[in-house]
Amino acid sequence: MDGEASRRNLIGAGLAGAAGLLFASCGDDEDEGAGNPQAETTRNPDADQADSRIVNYALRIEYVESDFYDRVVGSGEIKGRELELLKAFAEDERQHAETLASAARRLGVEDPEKPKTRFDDALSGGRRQILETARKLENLGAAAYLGQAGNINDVDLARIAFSIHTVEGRHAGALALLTDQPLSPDGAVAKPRPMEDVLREVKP
Amino acid sequence: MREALAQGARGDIDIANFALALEYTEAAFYERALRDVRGLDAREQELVTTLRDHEVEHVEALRATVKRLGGRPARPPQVNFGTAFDSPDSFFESAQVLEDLGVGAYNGAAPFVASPKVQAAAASIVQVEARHAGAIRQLRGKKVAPDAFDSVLERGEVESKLGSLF
Repeated sequence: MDGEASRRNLIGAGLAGAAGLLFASCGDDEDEGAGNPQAETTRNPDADQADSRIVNYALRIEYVESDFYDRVVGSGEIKGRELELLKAFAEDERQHAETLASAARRLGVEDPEKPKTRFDDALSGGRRQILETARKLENLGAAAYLGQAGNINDVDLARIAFSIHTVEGRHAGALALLTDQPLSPDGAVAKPRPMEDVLREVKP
Repeated sequence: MREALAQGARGDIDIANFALALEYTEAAFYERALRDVRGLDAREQELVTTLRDHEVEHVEALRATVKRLGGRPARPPQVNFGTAFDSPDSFFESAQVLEDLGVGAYNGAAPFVASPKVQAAAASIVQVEARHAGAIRQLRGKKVAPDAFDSVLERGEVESKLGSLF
């Protein structure tokens, strides 16, 4: 999908084939130059800077989640259908990280360091502990994205964030069912969490 | 950029009423399920009760939002749920489609919302719809997230999918 068509889609009738739109604007080299209106638009450095801070933050969360799932899969503690479930989640988080890393690069940010994590306690606690940790991580991730809803300036980036937010929600819902915990700890209306809080919680 | 896409309060009222119609449908769907679906076990019963309770609250929240914006809340749509309640299987299959639809609808509408408050409220609601979708898919042994990035649905698509669901 070329830039002109994607611009018309944004302003016009809607967002049909939005997944295609998302990936068209993600790290597509054609964006940089061939008569694409996006390339002609002057970027606002302050807006980009603010967005890059959020992208770094989201990337951090995704790296933590990815790392957790990778370790869980490698631990051998989870088996059968539950293992397939967590592998699927691992793949989702991996794709989130990949897309966000692309977005970060486009905003001129170098790949941030992968954060240190410490999941030894969780992993040594067996199946229940692992699933509970997963549930809490997904709850945190969902609340983190919700906390940034409306803060992202770039429309394509905002759309990516919205699309990731609900996937975290799906993960959280599935894990709640699996662990017999409340489907939505905040009830019918989920609560956002601020960046400082979330970053504090994902610190090892 | 939001200014280019959004249509101000008038647009937000319209979007909120669209979401309200969906929530009315979902609330009625779960309410009817609790009454009509035979063979739900205790865990499923509990889940469906929670789903119903959430949707009822969503209806309240959206009605309040529309009023706050100076609009008139839409009336509950009349929906014929067909054979959805014939069995737990047919019910949960329909529930999955309905919840997925809700997620797509909210995500599709989000960029067009003018008011940050309304957008935040919608995001808080859609996360819960996503939780619903995830739990139902997990219950049915289906892939929890059909894609790593949830797809967005344009309003026309939502209406047509709803039309063909029941």
